[in-house]
This record gives sequence, C-alpha cells and structure tokens, in this order.
Amino acid sequence: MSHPLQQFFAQVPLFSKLNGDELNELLRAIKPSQLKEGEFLCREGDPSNAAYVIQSGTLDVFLERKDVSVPLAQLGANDVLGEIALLDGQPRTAHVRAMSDVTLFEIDRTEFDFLRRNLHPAAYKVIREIAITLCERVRQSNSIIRQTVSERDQIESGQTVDDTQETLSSEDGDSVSDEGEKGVLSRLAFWRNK
Amino acid sequence: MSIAIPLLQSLDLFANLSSQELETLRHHVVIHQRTLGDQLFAVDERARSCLCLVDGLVGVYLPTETTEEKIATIKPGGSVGHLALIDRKRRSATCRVISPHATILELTHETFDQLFSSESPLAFKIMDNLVMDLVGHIRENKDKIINAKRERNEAKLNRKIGPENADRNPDATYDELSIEDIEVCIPSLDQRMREKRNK
Repeated sequence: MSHPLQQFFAQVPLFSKLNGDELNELLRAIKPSQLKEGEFLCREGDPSNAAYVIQSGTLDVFLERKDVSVPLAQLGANDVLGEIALLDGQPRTAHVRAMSDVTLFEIDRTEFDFLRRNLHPAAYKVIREIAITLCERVRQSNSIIRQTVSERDQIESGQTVDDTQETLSSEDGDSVSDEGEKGVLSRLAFWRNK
Repeated sequence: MSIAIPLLQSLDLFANLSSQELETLRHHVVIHQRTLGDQLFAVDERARSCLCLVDGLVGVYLPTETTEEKIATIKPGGSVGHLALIDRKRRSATCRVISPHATILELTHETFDQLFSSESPLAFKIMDNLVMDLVGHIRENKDKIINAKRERNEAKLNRKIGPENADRNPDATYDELSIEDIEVCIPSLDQRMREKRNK
C-alpha cells in the first residue's frame, strides 16, 4: 500500500529517483513537523541531526555578523535544507527562521544512517542526488578561490580591480552556508539592493 | 592486465570494500602504464572516468592567462577526476604524470553507473567514499576562500590606507568594503591599530 505522502515526496528532486517501495522505506525515517511564524528551525552552530523538506510556508536562511543580518536564502514548498547533515552531522552553518507558519518533514539522521549502514538502495539514491549538488558546489568554490587569488595578485601588482563588482559572487552564497541552495540568488539580490 | 587485490585495497576510493567486492571490482577497472609528461586529461575535456594512482606521481594544473599553475600533487592511493563518476561534466584541471613511471587505474562512468543501477553494494560503498570526500572538499574550500579573501582584502586595505594615509580612521575604510570584507579585515585592522599604538 502506498504511503499518503508518496505523491508529495515523489516531486521533490532529492527523492525523484526512488521507486514506490524505496520511497516507502525512506518515509519511515521521516516525521512531520510545524513551525510558527518567527520560530527558529535552527541556529548557526547548533548540532545537526536532520535534514528538512518544506511542505508549505517560507523559511528565511540568514547569518548574523556584527549585528547585521545577512540574508542567504528564502526557501519554500518542496525545497530541502540541511542535507549535508545527513552525511556528516556537522553543526549548522546558518540561522533558519520561519517567515510564516510552516509545515515541513524532518529526515532523521539516525534513521537515515540505519538505511545507509544496511546499504539500502533508497539511501544511496538520495546520497547520489546530494553528491550531484556537492559536485557543483566544489566546482563553484574552486572557481571563487581562483578568482579571489587572481584579484589579490592584480591588486598587489597595482592593477585596478573594480570593487563594485567583486563584493560577492554566486559561489560565496553556497560556500558560506550549507543550509539553503538558493543562497546564490537571494544574496546577490541583497547586495544589489544595498 | 589485472590488478592485485592488495593494490586495490590501497586506493582511498575503494577503502571499506570487502575482499569479495574488490575481486568483483577488479574485473571492472582498467590498468594503464604511463611515463613522465603523459597527459591523463586536459581541462575542459568531457569527463568520462575516474583515475586512481597506484604508483608514481601526478601533477594537477590550472591554466592561467599565459601559462598554467600546478595546484596539487597526487600521490599513490589518491585519485583524480572522481567527480566524473557523479556528474560527468567537463574536467576542471589538467593532469599529467610527473614521475618517471606511473600506474593508473581507470574506472569509467559507464561501469560505475551500471554497478550503481544494479544496486551493487560495492558501488554504494564507493559512492559513500566519494560523497564524504566531497563534503571534506567543500569544508576545506570554505577555509581556503576565507584565507584568499583575507589576503585579497589586506592587499586592498594596504592600497587604500597606504603609508600616506596612516592617520586616517580605519573605520572610514569600512564604508568602502562589503560586510564580508569587513569581517575578514578585522584581524588585520586590529593589528594595524596595535602597531600604531605601539609606535
């Protein structure tokens, strides 16, 4: 018998390669959760024990630096956040707060680990999707390292670097936080609006 | 030419595979003998396989405007081009043999894909090693980005403040920089202020 949430999860890219049985297996590791507007899902530095899939509502991903809030992303329905936590359990890299009432699903790391240790195909199909995202982030962060070093060399050699262009590139958004993949666009928008 | 199980075991990408899985893997990989200067792949080439270094040394090079810069040396046990097993995009660097001889083991994307699709535990274990390597790489890169930005911003501050502006309030300089720049600049500014006080 199919799980009532199968239809919802089948449209989330992270789970799109799973067949019905695999999705059912994975859904055992997932439990529903709710947040009221203004409530924090996590704060930077918190331990990571889960990833989340948003069913409805909007979450704000941001950092606080020198009393300034730096927005990284706004996440909505079908978005996934904190997926690297499923792999390594490292502390959260940003604050995440509900901008409206939010319903979401929590993928428990311990339960996911159980599937992973048992080499369950559902876990590895999800891991492969995460890996594709990570490949892109590695390439982007390699690119920003090259760009920044090149800018430093230009400055040191007395060439002009246009400061207005180099505040932040899209790669910075991803490299600063693992909590939201949409950091790129919102962060660029933030800088444009300054 | 076939490869011995202990040699396969010595490769980071295949850590945690059982003897039986390594025996299976042995039939899916290809061994290449290469010599000094041989190019394994070039930047921007379509990536089709992952290459593991059994013995010898491999240099990783990035093109610059005029030439190229060596960014890493791969030692036995390490691998290059392993992102190809996941997303098969274009190579982001050029790799060449920099020792007199090198033994290279090749695992193609197609082979890995077949193993993964057939739900082979060995493919899952390789995926585990790959993804954890990626996570480590991302975290390392964050540190590298912060260091690179710090160096760049110090260079920028040296240019903006300069000896001729030694009495200028460093805070004013903050207005010219981005929030992230300010954050990474603070240690160097603190240092400057300490130096001024000591004078």
